[in-house]
Amino acid sequence: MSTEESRKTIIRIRNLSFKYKNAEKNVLDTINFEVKEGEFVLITGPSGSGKSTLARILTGLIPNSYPGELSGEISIMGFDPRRNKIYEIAQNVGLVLQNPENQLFALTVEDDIAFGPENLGLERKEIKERVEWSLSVVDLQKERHKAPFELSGGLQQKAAIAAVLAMKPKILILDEPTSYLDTLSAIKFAYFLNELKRELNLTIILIEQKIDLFFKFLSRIVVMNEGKILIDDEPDVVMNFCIRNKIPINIPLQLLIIRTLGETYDGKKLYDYQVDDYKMLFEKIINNR
Amino acid sequence: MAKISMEDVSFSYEQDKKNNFVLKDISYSILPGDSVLLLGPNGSGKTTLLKLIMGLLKPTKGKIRIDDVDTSKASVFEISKKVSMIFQNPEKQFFAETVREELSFGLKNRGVREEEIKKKVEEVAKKFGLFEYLDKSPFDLSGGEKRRLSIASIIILDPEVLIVDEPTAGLDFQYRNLMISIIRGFLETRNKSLVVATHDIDFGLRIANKAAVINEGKLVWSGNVVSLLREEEIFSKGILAHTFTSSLISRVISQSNVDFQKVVKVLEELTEGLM
Amino acid sequence: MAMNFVKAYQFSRKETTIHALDPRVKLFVSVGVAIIGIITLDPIEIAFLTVIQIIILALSKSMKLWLRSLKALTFFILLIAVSQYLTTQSLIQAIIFSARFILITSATSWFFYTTSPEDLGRALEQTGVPSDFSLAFTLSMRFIPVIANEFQDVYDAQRVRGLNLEKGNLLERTKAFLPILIPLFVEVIRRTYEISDALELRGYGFKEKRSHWKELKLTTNDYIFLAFFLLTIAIIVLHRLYYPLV
Repeated sequence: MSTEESRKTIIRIRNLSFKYKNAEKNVLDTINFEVKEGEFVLITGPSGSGKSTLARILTGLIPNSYPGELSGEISIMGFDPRRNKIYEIAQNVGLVLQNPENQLFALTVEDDIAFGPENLGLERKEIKERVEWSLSVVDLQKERHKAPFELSGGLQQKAAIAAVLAMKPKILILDEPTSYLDTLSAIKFAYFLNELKRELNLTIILIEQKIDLFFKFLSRIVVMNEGKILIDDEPDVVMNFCIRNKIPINIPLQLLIIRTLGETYDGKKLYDYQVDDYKMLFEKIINNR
Repeated sequence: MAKISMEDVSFSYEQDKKNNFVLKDISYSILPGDSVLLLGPNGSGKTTLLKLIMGLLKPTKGKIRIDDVDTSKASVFEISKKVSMIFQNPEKQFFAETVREELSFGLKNRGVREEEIKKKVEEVAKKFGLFEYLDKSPFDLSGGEKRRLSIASIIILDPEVLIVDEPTAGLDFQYRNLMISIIRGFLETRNKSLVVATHDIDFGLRIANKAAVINEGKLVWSGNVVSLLREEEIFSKGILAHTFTSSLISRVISQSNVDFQKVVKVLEELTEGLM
Repeated sequence: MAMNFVKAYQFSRKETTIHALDPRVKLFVSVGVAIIGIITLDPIEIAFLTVIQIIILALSKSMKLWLRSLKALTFFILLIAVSQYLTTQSLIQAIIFSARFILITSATSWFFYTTSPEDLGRALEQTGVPSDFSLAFTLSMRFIPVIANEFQDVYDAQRVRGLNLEKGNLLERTKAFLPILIPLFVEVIRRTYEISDALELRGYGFKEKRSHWKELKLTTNDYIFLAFFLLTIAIIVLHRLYYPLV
């Protein structure tokens, strides 16, 4: 058994369908989705495709806070959102929402990080340890006494991540974390997230549009549209599929250039090419017109 | 057809305490027909500068003139006759019961006649694909429709200068193209000007001809977009960050002298999968 | 003008004995002095208590803040003095009333200078207020600046569309607030949903009794401070017995 196959499957979803209460259509339609321990999965697709709904189901927000018709087989580290409460699942699956502002409740960063563990009723010593650990993992020690509204968007997001990590989840789901970051911060964030995953042995599910920033770190890409999964496979297979079928997602320009010329490449070595190599290829395209 | 000139503009929020200047000695002009990209990292002062041009803030030092009117002596109402601004997450300004009412708001405040308003509202609604929703509540629209409505409610005022703050922040990939076509539509009318503050260079390249870079409150570079792409220092110093797209374009136009417009066109065709 | 009032009550993080006192004790003493300030009319009591507040302010290295706040409140102080003089024709009364105002604001201001909002929240939670209520209180404080900014943003956006809050009669001007209040309201409600989701995701509700990582415990200094306060009350009571104000 290869190392890939010997990894445990920690999320298993079969034939999942969901319709919000009083809604006409299904938001999710017979989804099959599996995640193994240690994977870095990116979920993408146009808005309304059901990505955030899936994240809500994985954390128990659906159906506990958002009632509706939920059917299918669901197992998230052994939990089923129809049987288990949100606070049970939250100790295993963390979700960082798009807007960090609304996830920071306390008046200082360190109090916010302590908030989750306090809710879990942990001992004071344990909470203190988790706060120190969280602060160092995201490198926010200098901001520990600051109020959330004093922080920039990027730092607020780090604080939100630190606060979720203090719950010590095995799986971390992030919903469009780079939406409000500027280009440089978004680039840095991608590296930061990958480092975090490696250091803490997390399984990451990332809902994102900026595929190119994370491409080299991913184990899998899942493309959703209108409640269905269009394709779920290794990054380069997915990209080829989307280029061929003109799926409206943010395909890295590198791939478009290579594909247009019919060149072959090894998906993982994509980022070993230098910009100048692409420049030559791109000029070929221009000259062909 | 309005000209905007900024002379040694400095701004501080704290009018009494220490000299905490958010913007320092900015001098720049926007001429009719210019499409200006205002670039810089988050927190550099871009939004503050936009608000100063709009008259929402008045300069602490220096002057901003719109044609010959000094903004510190004019009300926002006066200035809004020539200049309009689209804020970040513009859907947050919805208050009306119907889309029609939302679109009419600005014109009503100006005292435009009812028949005239009705005509304009239907015209703009058609242009933005909102005609069928005129009697719907703005809060019932989808994300994309909401964005179109918020922009339409500003474009209907027909400003001579349009200011936009981070149009693509938090926006889905598929709406970027929508944004580009709306902005290009606006610029089709001769002598209209545009100022767009953004950190999204890939988007900005496609709609602007001039660029100004702000860092830590100072104007550190200005010129046209093509020269910006040839300007290595700003990128190596980390003031602006290259995306793969922008660094590719930068190399192609500096090292191989290919025409910028042609490069942009080919890129657009690639991304739209036409090739 | 309202901003001046708010500025007079801002927390400033320092390391002094007063800052380190238990917020519950500080609240008790501060409110206690303020109440005496409200009911007393005796200039000697007022002066005595004010001197004590100044000592506390000095001990907490907040004199500069206090003087600045007095400057900001000058308008109110004069207003009180003038209106008292006009009603009673007595200069002494005017001074006494102004002095009371200064006493009350001084007594309450050192509390806010030395107690962080989070400590205030902790004080509430650990005095037996149900966690839902103290959370609601902390959340309100946390989001006040955010909502204030939102208000400004919406106001700006509507001004750009020609909204004029200064035109017309009272009715028209009140109606003109709707394009600001409605979006603000919608936004606040939207936020509430997101916040409540986030609270659930952070395990809120798992345990009836939450733990507290920073437990408030009374120390020797707290007892000494309380003792001084009780001594002050004793002195005032004795003074009233022997020198009653007729």
